[in-house]
Amino acid sequence: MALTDVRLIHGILALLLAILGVLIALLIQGGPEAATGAAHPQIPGMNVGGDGLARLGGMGWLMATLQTLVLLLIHALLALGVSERHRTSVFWVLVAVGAALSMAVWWGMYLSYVTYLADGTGPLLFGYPVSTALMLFGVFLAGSYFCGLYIWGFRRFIFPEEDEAAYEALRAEALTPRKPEQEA
Amino acid sequence: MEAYRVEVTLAFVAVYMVFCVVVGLWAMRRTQDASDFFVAGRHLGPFVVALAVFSSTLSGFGFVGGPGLVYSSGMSSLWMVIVAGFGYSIGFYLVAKRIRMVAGVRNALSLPDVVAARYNSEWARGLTAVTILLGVMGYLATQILAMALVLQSLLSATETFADVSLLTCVAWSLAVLVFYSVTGGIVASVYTDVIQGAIMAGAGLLILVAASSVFDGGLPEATSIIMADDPEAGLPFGTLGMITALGWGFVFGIGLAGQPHLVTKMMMNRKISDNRLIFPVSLIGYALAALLWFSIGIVMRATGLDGSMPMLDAPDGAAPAFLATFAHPLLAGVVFAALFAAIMSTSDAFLNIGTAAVIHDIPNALRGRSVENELFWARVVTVLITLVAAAFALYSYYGNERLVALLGAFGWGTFAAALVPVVVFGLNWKRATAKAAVVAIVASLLMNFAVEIFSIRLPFGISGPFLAMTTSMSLFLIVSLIDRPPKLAEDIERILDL
Repeated sequence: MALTDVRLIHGILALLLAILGVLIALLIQGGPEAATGAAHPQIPGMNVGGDGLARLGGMGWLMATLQTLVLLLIHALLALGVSERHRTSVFWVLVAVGAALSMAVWWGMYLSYVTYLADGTGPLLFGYPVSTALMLFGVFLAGSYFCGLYIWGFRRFIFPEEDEAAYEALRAEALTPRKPEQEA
Repeated sequence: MEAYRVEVTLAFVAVYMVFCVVVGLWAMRRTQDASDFFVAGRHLGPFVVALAVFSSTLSGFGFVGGPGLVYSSGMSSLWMVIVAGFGYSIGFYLVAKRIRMVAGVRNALSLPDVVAARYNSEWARGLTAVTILLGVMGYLATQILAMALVLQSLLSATETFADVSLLTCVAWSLAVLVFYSVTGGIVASVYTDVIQGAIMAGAGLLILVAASSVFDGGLPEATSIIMADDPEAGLPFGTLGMITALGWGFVFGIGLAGQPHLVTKMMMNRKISDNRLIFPVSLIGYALAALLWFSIGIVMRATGLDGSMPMLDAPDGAAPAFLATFAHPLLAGVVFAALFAAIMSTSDAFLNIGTAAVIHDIPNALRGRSVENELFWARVVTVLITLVAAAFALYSYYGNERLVALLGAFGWGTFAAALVPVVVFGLNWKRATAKAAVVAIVASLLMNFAVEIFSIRLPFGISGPFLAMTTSMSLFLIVSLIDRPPKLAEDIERILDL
């Protein structure tokens, strides 16, 4: 079953409403006192996060779900940016690979983050805690995957040569002055 | 050379300013009409556009405010930066191709022109223009203030200019900005952006090297010092917590497609196929320049905690203190020039779209045609907008901080919430309607204004723009689906098929 613009838009709307739903749930729940940190006890101008697990207020799973929905939304939007005619099976497989990469980075980051908070320590990656390393390098690389896809797929599904020819024809028509009888 | 640190820095800044003036004079000869002034005749090469896109993305905030945020709250603000891969992807997949097509077929000079062509609605054009104008005033005022304060801090360290006033610094900074923006329009703007972008990317890389050498163990050691004091500061969401960080990621990632000063640059390339090169070059340039944000902030927080540096008066002092302490005078000179470059490249982009809104878009929305002699009035209005923004900046500094804060709320987040649905869905979905565009813009402006005016603090640090953007995107789709399908112009229909 082809994923048409209509179905894709319905999917995007469903994701947006789900994101709104999570945000409203968080608003209703209300955050703990120090959800956004507190002033550093010794150094003015600096903040501290304090007890990380406590300030999640038991809502960490909901926040992780929120980011999962946001990542799905981003991938759905990127697919919308490609003309319906060019959304081939290969294209969808490549988008799915990108989505899997993003999810792996996100869930790897989240799970190692809460594990670190619970244990007070954890393994290092490139000298940083795993969750921090995944944030610093993984998120950017997961997004940059779509830059590579854009370069590779430019003539395949972004702007194939037949589309460029069709656009040039349209532009030539637009630049040609209309005759009076055409306007009438 | 250490004894002449301030003089070296001022020399770099002076050379950079002279360069801007020279480019302005050169560009004046290439600016023959309003199309040249606003969209450089749509004949720019890929490297010029790529550098213009990324240097406009990273304003002075990235060089001063960014490291300051890392100093004050650890990793939280890095979510504004690390989402660049997704943000630029959204911009190039969903906007770059079709906005250039509409601009080419309809001879559009501005984003509101494209919106009017897509929706066949003067209401949509007018609201887009008003949103841009409000945002421009806030953004410009903060940029002007930042530029003048940095210049004052540099000059006051010399004997000759020890008592220089802020007003004088505003006047000197603006003289250069206005000169090249008025004489050369967007042509001067994008060609100064090229140098500005190159300086910013180079400075980011060099600062990373300098910052890595402060501790024997490099930046990981700095992070471990930070985590010994407060683990959350060095973990991925920083001291401000997960929702604040993720909200920034959302607004700065998906929101990139709604930034008028960026997407307008996507209308200026000679060929659409150049996007294949523009995308990676702009992304790499941005990533290099943003290294400064992370590396200075981490080092300054760590040195503040281990006592090797005195406490800062304010977090925004992190970058200047780092440059004064850890950077070679030549590097400090380059980075200060880069700072001015970052501020000016963003300011000239805003000046350009603000001027287009006043003399082209709003008159078109109200009476169906632009002003006569657009090029002349473009130059006059560029000066007027700068003066009004400077007045806002000074009034805010000396009298009422809330004024610019309020207009500043019309910054990135408000552009994102108001314009992302209009641009992203409008250019990629035939069913998108003008009514939906109007509802989305009005709703997002009301939400963002309400949060700012009433100083509403949401639980878990949920940001107003995050909520406003999700709401406006949802409303846009719901209204479009409920509304009657629009009757598109034939050329727009054909563009949306490609």
